Amino acid sequence: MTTGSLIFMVLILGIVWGGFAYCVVRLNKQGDGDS
Amino acid sequence: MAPTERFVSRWGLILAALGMAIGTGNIWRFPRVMAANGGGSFLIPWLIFLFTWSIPLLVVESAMGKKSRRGTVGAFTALLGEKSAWKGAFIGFCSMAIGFYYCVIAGWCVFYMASSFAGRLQGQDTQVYWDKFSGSGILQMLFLFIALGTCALIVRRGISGGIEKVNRILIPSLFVILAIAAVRAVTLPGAEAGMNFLFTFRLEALTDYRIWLEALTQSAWSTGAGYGLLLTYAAYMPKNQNIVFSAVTTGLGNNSASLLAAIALIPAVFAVLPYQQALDTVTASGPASTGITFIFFPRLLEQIGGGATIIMPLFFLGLTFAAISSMISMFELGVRNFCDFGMARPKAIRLLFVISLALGAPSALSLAFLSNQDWVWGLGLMVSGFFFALAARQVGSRKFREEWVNTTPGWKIGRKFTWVVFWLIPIQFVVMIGWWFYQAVVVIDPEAWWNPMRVFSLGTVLAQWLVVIVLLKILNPLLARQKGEAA
Repeated sequence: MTTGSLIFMVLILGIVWGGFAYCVVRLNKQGDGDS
Repeated sequence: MAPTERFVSRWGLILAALGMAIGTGNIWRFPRVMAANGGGSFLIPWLIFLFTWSIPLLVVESAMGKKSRRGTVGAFTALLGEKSAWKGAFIGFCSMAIGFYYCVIAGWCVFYMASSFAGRLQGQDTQVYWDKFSGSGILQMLFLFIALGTCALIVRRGISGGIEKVNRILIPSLFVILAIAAVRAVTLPGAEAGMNFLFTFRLEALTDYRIWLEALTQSAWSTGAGYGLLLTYAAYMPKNQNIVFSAVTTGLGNNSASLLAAIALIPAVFAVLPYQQALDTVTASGPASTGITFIFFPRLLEQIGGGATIIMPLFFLGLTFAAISSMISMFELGVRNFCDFGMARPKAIRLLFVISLALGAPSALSLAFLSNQDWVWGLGLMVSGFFFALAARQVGSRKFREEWVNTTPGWKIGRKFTWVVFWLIPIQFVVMIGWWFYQAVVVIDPEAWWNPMRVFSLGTVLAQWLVVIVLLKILNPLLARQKGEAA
């Protein structure tokens, strides 16, 4: 891959996958229960 | 009565919401639209509209469902007054109309999954195979029945015992399947060209307004925002679950799956075919806009080591999971609305099963009918999204924030967010619907755009919307008379 494409890929995946991963980790920390 | 059942955990609702949002469109529409609209450059507007259309509408839907504890009709009636019942009914009708043909598509996915596991796709002329299947009324109806029956059985087991439990298996499995396919795709010799295409950003591409409009449309259709489906699930949301966090997780999770699907598909195509041919293949519309899925992809996979025996069954299994998990939410939307009118849940499920089978049959027997319904109610979803924005606007900024959304500890929304919902979404709606109408008149069917009997005309859209809206307006007093109680 070209350097430009690589940087853009890291940026996009960082925002989307990174953001989703953050939410998943945060949700796990909150615990799975209702209360 | 308002439903007393709840998702038993926060994860339960999030996974069900992801199941609702991640559908076949993530797998066959997103890579095609992205490839046809500037490749990597498309990702910028697509991301912007995630935060200016999809997530705000998901927040509004969640807030309305949680606040009213009812389906679409009941929520609009309880929160906005009896005169608004028809708007909730239009949203519900729109999603159910999509559900009627979507269960046919889910049937295709089940058929191709079974065929690939049985090894029946290997060595086949995939075009002939598709033509035979799509031309067989018996097979179409049989797989429609199987897909619909599966959904009815899951919904029959209730929210926590059925929908939550099944999505706990389907959604993580879907991500694993897509990840395996993506890893295989990017490790193929020659896949680099596809990765470069996927992630090359050209600033000048962003000056093309069509890329922005396609990105907005993709964002509107893909996340399930404005469908009323998240509203339905939110009626069963645990009391202390944060609305904003759930909506953001759903939006980001949906887009994560879309990117994963694109990485699984596009590099594989570029690895096997020369550049221009690869580009033509990934942007091909395919039967009923299913892209490369049923014809080109099986053919392509035969040229990859382990493609036909491992990747193909996995791919169609993932596609089936995506289709079924989305269909469950559409089915539940109908059931919830029926129950709000005092119908017992088992009876509502039986009734909806019969209605879906009857109204899905024309789409099963005619690709033209299916395509017409996809065109008419796909655009209808934009109107649904607009109705949600108007609903939030009607209650006012402070009440919307303090009484509808910011009711639990954790993430909250501020005034800027309400500005997006009150102003930006209506503007985006007008631009998007105006552009599609313009396309219908100038590009898609310039000779007979006014003709309501044509598959992709503006006339067919307006005529069908008009009939439904007039009927719902007449029935409004009946629609507003529900037995449910707002929470």
